[in-house]
Amino acid sequence: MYRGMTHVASYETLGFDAPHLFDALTEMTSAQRDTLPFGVVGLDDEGLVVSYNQAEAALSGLTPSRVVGRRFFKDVAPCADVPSVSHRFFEADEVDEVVPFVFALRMTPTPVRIRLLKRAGAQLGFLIVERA
Amino acid sequence: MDNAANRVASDNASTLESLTEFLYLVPVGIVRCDGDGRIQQMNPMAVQLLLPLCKEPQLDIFGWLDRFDPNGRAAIEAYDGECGLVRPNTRVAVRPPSEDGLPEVLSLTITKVSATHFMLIVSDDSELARKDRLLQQKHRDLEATLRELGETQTQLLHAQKMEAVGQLAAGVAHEINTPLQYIGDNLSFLNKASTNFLALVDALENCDKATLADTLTETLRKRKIPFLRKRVPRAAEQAIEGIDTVSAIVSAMKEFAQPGIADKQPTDLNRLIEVTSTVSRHEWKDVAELVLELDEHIPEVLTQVGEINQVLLSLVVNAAHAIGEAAQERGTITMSSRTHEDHVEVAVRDDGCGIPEEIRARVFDPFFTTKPVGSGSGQGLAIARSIVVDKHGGTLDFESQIDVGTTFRMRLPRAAT
Ligand SMILES: Nc1ncnc2c1ncn2[C@@H]1O[C@H](COP(=O)(O)OP(=O)(O)OP(=O)(O)O)[C@@H](O)[C@H]1O
Ligand SMILES: [Mg+2]
Repeated sequence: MYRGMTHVASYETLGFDAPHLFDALTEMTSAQRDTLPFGVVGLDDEGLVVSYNQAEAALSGLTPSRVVGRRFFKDVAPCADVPSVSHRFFEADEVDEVVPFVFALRMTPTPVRIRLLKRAGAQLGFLIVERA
Repeated sequence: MDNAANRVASDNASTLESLTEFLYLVPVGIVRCDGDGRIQQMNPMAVQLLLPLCKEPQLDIFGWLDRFDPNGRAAIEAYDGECGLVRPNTRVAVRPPSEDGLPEVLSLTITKVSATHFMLIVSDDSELARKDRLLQQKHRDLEATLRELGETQTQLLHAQKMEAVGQLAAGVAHEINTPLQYIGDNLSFLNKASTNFLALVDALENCDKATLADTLTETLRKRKIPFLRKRVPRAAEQAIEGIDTVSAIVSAMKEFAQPGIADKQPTDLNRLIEVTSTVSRHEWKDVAELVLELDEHIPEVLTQVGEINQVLLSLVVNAAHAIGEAAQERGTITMSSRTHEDHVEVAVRDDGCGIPEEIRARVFDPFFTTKPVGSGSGQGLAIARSIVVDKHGGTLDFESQIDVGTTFRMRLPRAAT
């Protein structure tokens, strides 16, 4: 209980660039991910959306229920199916890289930074999204 | 009231949502920007088409388009159509040509949507560009091939000459070998004879005056002097003849190849006929007699000697092959020369198999051959024709009758060319 509390406290200070972000996200529940100030999309190894946090939903205007279970780069954000994002995400086993990007959210171009996070053997990989 | 307003709002919301979804899914990029190129709206496809163009995402349409080709900016800035008018299909190269499947040529359709705003419809024209490029490449390849073909023909001329010389050299080696053998035999006979003659001289020198007659008789018998006396002159003659034969072949070979003489020179065609018949002996002697019917008064004409020799050789070798193909045991090849008013003519006639009607039109085609792989390459007549017609302004043609024979005629103009 006490340890849990300290964890939650530390999550609140967890930043987009935090070096141990991958470990922290893997430990967190989806409720805990919802408290984060930046978008988090969890993808399985086939690119299906497994988790979609509140910040990401607010950014894209898409509710998690519409998104979870769909192919992220095909059905949800086809615009991100470009070499610098989707190819980069899938072509290596381990990725930790920040790429600049523009989301065409509701037709409004929104510059963002996307951090691609993936580890060999892990169940989920993450796209971390923050307004640029 | 409230309910109705709510329904309108929710209708509007769902209309908007389906419109947005539509704009998400159309397979073209849609961008709305102001007169300075600042992007106000764009759909995901537009992002997908434009994003690979540069490292940093841009919110300025020119930032994407200008990297490579000024055409896009020029078209947008120059567009002064009325609202709603469309300027279709401005093609903008956006990346260097590549085969990676990413956009390299975009097509822009420009529409003015208000006094200050443009709408661009962006589609990927790269597939077309790639096909175009492929076509152009093919075209260039074809031109290069054509050029190469021209160069190759010249090289072939030379190569075939070298090949002919190489093949001849092998034949000539055989031809020289026979006289060399009897030159050798005769010389060793002469060597033995001289030993015996010297033995006779020694015996006579060293013997007693009293026994001179006996010694003479005995040594003449023992040393076979009468026999040697009869045979020695013939042996010496044969050795000398052999040497003449060898040196005739060697000098004919040298004359045939004419190394290093590229210019045309006044030529006695009879001499070329003799030289060619000599160096090619090995090619025909097993199947044919070779008869020369030479016009003693044939005037000199200007020729590149090495090349005309090559022509005559091709004709003689073909004649020998044709006789080899025919049913009869041995045949005759006749090489003749004749003088006409404005040209001279050399004919090579054989009584071989003849050329079938159906291939007559093709015998001069490069690489046309009826001979088995490895034996004929089909270049002989093609090159011969090019030498006679293109290089000497003459003609080369033939008459042929199945099972009777074929005559090839080369005519060269008498006037200097
Ligand atoms: N005197 C001839 N009699 C019968 N057929 C001939 C005669 N000369 C040429 N031909 C035919 O024409 C074809 C082409 O001749 P050409 O000299 O161009 O090539 P080739 O003799 O087959 O090969 P290459 O000369 O390159 O070794 C021959 O294969 C043969 O069928
Ligand atoms: Mg030939």
